[in-house]
Amino acid sequence: MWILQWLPNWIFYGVFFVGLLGLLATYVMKFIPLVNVYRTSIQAISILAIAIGTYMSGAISNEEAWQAKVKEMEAKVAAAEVKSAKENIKVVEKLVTKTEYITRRGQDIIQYVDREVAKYDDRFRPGGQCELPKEFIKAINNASEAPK
Amino acid sequence: MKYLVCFFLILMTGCSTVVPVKSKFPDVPERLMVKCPQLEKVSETPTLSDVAKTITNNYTTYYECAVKHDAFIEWYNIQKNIFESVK
Repeated sequence: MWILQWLPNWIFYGVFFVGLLGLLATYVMKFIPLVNVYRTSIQAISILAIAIGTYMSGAISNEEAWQAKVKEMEAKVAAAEVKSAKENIKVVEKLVTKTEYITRRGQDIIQYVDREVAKYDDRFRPGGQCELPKEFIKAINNASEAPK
Repeated sequence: MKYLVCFFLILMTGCSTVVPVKSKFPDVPERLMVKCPQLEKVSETPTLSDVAKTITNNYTTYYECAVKHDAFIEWYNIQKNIFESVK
């Protein structure tokens, strides 16, 4: 509530007590002529002050409850952000480890191919004893093509 | 009458709303946002080892891409749970 942001709370409690005192005064201090003359007006203003004071006391209480909830929520969000950042690191670290393993394994296999499979290159070269058919190459290349 | 108007104006101060606390869904780590590369193709006149290397490289590329995809799913599920727990 905006009015609570630029007026201190005690003003509203003050309004309530002034209203209460005003109302009591109209009963207790009847003997004072000024009070007696303006009795109805003082009572009306006092009742209004009590109403405003009561309403604003409720508003202050409600505002405090909301502020407490907001603080609780902010704490939860901050904790979640920390947890989220930690989990991000864990996921990325796991990914890096797995990717490194896959890359290393690929390199090992390539070394194996260079060492063991390359021995048969002459036999499978174009025009060689067991030439790889064009259809075989075509099938592999077609399979590696990305879908359009 | 003017007193009544003032009274209602004061009562209307209760109509303002409280700004809610918003929690933002986190951004995906850059490492998970990298696109998968194209697979390699065998040259026109390959040797047997060329074919084996191309196939090996393509398998490697596939698994690198697959772990990235799996990591994204894991990241999303974890972050979704954390995000939903803030209520």
